[in-house]
Amino acid sequence: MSTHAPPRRRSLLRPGEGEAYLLVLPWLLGFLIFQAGPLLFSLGLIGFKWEMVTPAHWVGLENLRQLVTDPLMGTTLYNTLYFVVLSVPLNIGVALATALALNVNLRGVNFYRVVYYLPSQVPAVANALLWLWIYNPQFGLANAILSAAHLPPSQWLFDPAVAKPALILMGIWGIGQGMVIFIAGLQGIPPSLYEAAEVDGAVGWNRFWGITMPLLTPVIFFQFIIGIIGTFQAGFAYVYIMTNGGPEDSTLLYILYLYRQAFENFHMGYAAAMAWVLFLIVGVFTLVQFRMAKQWVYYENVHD
Amino acid sequence: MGSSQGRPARAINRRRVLVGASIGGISILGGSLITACGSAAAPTAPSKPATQSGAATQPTAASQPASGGKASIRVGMAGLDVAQIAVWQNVATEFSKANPNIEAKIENVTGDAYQKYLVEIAGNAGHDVYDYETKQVPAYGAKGVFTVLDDYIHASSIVQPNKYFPVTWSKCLVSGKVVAIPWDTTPAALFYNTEIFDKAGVAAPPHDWGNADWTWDKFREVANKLSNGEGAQRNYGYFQSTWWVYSLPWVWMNGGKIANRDETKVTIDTPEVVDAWQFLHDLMWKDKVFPSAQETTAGAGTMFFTGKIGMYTNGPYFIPSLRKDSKIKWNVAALPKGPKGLYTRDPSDSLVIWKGSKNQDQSWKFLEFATGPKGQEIIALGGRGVPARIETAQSDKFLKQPDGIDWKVFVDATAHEGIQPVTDVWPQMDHTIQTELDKMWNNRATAKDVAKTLQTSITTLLGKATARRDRATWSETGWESPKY
Repeated sequence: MSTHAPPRRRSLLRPGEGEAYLLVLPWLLGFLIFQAGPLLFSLGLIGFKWEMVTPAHWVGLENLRQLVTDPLMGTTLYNTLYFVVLSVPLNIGVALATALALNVNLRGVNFYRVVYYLPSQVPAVANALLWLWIYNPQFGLANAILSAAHLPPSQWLFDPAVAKPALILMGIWGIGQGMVIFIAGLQGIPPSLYEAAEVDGAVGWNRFWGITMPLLTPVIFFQFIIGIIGTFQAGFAYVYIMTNGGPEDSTLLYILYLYRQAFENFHMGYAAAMAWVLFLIVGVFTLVQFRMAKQWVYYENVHD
Repeated sequence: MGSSQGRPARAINRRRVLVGASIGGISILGGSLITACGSAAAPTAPSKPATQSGAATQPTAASQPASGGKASIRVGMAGLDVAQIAVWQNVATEFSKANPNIEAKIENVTGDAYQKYLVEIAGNAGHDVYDYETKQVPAYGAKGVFTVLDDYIHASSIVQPNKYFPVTWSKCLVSGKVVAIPWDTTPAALFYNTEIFDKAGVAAPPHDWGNADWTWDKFREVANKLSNGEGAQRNYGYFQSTWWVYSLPWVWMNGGKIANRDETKVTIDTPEVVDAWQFLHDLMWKDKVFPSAQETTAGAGTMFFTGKIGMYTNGPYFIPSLRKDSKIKWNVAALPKGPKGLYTRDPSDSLVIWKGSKNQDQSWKFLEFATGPKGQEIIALGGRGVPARIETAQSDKFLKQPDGIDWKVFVDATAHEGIQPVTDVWPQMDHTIQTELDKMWNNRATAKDVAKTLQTSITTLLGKATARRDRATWSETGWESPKY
């Protein structure tokens, strides 16, 4: 109702922003309706003692205090970090090596790509049962290989010193996903760069370190982020089915312990506290990675 | 009917696989914990079941038929096998014949049944009647989700405490109130392969409990005589699950206890406990007549079924698979008498009524029927346990079944049942003791070391249990092994 026309209508949204919001709306609605509530609920639970069927009562910081004094927390954090620190680089390294090996123009290369990719599509439970048999100290394939190589047999999942490495080793079986992403990354490297390098006389490792690696760093970075977040949370099905956290708590991962607190002991408040602490730990790890990324991740299209 | 009754500590069981499958992808970030348990934990304020039927305090209702139309009650059973489903369907059918106004639906809850029960109850969508392993009853009963049955029992001519095996009955009490009625009792006894005994020229173990010749020393001697061979070819004289609860009869027989009656003092590091554990350890590592975890990777059950193990302590729930999967000739005998008495353990199973059920009286009718003479007769022929009702257990119908099994050994075993220490911290106690005792089973620690560590950790753990709850949490007859 202004007496004179405004000089320019100022929209609340920048051009295209409306469509963008429209596109994320389904996810946003899903999040708000199904996840935000439980998320906040679990945050609130930290202050309560609640066993699901008995009334919840306020205990303040008691759950967090118990978290600090719980002797099993140290064990589970150690086990989980052990997994993250060993398994993430190992998996990324093997995935990269496999991707490099399969990034060639050979007849039938797709067949091999499928072969290496397939195990990552085997359901966790089937995988777990399969590897239980492979690691069987009496009849397993793993010990058969050791004995063929004239090495002493291992007790594998029955030996607290070997159980964690055994599970990590088994994780290599599932590198398919990472391998495919690496292959995609490798194929995104413009051939012209390699041609130019060839003109300059760079071959073999020089080519790899001078061109392939720098251009793959964003992909590697992505894999580290996803891998670390994933590994903190993953492994539940495996330790639950294969070892139940044993022997002697050597494979008691944080998430298995959280599960026990929530669904065996029905300490919902305590479990919620554990979940949020893990969220913070993962958050810190991710943040540190992003900070460190500036030192080693090379983005081709960024110029300064 | 707990799926964990006979589990070897490290075996994969169906429960584990199913749960692993269903939450294999569990995400941990905050709220996902809650979404993982479905609608039951929707972000409404946690509360008690809304319905608080007054039925339990009005016993007169118990003897009245349901008013109005036909009522339907849902009975949640904990992981029945196919044969047992048929048994319980039969119970339900006969129940409806006797009570035309009530229909009972048997619903088998597979996987982690007790967890699912609690989730249902928390969501105020429980079954009317639940089946529990009796040893679980005090821990869950303390949460106040079961109907107190005392008034119903006072008014009932069928369900009377003295009709049931006393130790089994005693486990159905929480704070002196009855919250469950037992439907079977499953004491462990000694299964043995008769052919192995014949071949070794050793007399079969006695079937009568308390036989003066059947002592620990004699048992050890027999176990050694039945063992032979080396490496993968070795035959073993004895096996029992390495789950720590199966060591309890040996502890009790040696005069040991996990803690004193009023849980003021943990007594794990006493010589009685340590020596009993060491006895089992010696069978495994000194005599090598008891295969270790590494030697039973194919499953100890399978080894017994294929004639590689001479004697095997287990409950009668071992029988269905033994009959189905093995071709060996076997029988069942008494456990050997210890220096300080003769004990066995007994998980047993019972029925409870959910406090929030809208069909309290009808549910009671079902309990009365299933644990009464007619229901017990059907259950008796189920072949996995002893009916909880003494008269049924002692009837010829049960004792002289065409299956030819010496059921009397299990019936007699009921006189020698010890009581496991069951508290609301049971799951933690279970994990803690098992983790520590596994060090002994794996020959990396002596029984004494294990007991010393456990003395401290269990004292802390039980301290928490009493700090959070009053003593009512504890099974009424508590820690003592009853004397007969």
